[in-house]
Amino acid sequence: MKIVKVLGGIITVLVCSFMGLMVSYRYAVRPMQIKCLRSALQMLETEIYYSLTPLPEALYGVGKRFENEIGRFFLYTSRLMTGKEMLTAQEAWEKSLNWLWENSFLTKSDIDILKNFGFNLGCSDREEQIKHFKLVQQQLLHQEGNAEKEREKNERMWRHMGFWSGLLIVIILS
Amino acid sequence: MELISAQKAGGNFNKGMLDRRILEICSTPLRRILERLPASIINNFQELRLRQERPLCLRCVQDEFFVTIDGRVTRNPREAYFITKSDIEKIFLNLTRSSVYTLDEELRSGFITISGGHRVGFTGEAVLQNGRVKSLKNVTSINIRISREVEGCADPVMPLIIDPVLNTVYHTLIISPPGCGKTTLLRDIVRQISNGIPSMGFKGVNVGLVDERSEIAACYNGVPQHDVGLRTDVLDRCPKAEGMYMLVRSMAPHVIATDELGRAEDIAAVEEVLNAGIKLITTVHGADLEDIKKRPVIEQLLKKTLFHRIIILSGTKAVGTVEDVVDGLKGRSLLKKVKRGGEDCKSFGRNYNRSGL
Repeated sequence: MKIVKVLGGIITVLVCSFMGLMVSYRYAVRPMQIKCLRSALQMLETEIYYSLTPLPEALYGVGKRFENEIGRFFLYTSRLMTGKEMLTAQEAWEKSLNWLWENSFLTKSDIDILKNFGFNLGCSDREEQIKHFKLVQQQLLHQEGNAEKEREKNERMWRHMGFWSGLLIVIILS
Repeated sequence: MELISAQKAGGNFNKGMLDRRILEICSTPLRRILERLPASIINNFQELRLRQERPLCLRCVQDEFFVTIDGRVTRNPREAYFITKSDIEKIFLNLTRSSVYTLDEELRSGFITISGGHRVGFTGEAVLQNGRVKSLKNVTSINIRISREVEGCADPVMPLIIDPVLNTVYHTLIISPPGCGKTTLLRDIVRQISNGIPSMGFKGVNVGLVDERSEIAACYNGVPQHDVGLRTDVLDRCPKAEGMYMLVRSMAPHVIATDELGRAEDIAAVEEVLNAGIKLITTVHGADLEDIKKRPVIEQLLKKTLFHRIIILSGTKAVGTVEDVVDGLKGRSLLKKVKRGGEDCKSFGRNYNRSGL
């Protein structure tokens, strides 16, 4: 009987610690993903402004260079534009943003910024495009700062909180 | 040989089906309508006119129809399908592959050549920079010009413009009103002299083609979409005068072909070409010889009797009726000589019909 109790206690502590770690991971990853997104967009900007690469190829080229969700997001957008669907840049961008929203730790406000950016993607001349890129970079930089602050505040707390709360539950119940 | 047949297969149409490459750029509602069009119309129309908030319009050789939402043709504009803003936007984005920034030059010139060689022209609101057109925005009208190759349409005139003894061609000028097959004829002449004509004992020669408006070879990403011959080098989207100089310097062509002469600087370039011993084949807009003499630039050229052969086209009976072929040096008609061969020699309209136009 005692063994069961001890085992149950250990499991409870482990599960709680794990949940805490998950939450703290979320806070740790978001700034990294925003940073990655920013450098990807920077590359896209270069492709557009200096090489005048058409969007599907530019998105593909950028996507290839990142082996994470951000890279896959770009590749997916490119595939939507060239594949059977033949979507316009706006439609493809929006569709793959939905995918990104489900598969990354970006928040709603990050996605909204990207969504607004997508409306103007590819449908104006070079100079105009650059303005939109500058704007989105600025907004994302701001988001990154916020995400960083939240990480500092919450990451460590959640990491420990999981373990301690698990322990608390075990103590109360026993 | 395989190369040629492959090119032919790429250039030709499925009868009764609109070119897939045109359907691909259309918005979904528009695509549905166009897919339902009767084959007789599809084989005949030349232009697809799309204007925002106005009826969908098809232009055939000398006729015009509106199209209803279920793909019927009608003459009553009220029954027609009205083009929506989203139709135009979608087509424009598909055309540019959502990369408007890559097409600054094309937007300034007002047209894009799509795969298959079809030309899409558009108008909208001009964006100015220092008083010059920089780009276009808010596009509201789109004109899709169906491009068709008519191989063999130059057959009736070929014997008149080649010199079998020296294995060369004469300097030739084609005069025609717009839409009467001038470019089509020029393209076939280029193809034939580039490939050679075995039946006339004519060996193919190097041809340099200055294609300022991407109409003759219809290059898409620099690759000719039409068959312009084995020995043809194409300078795409290049201003004529400059292009002619470039070709003389770089490609040593035997013949230079170009479309729509008319600017003052063209004359100097033409003379340069002629002095280099290169034969020239070119076209000009106009109804007949008298008509083009009113234009100072062309008159200057004619006065110098630079052209040995002048072909006059008209669209009175069918597209591409050869009205006359004039010997530029002696000023007399050459057509009587061929007329013996029958009516076929006089017009390539019948060939046109055979090819489904």
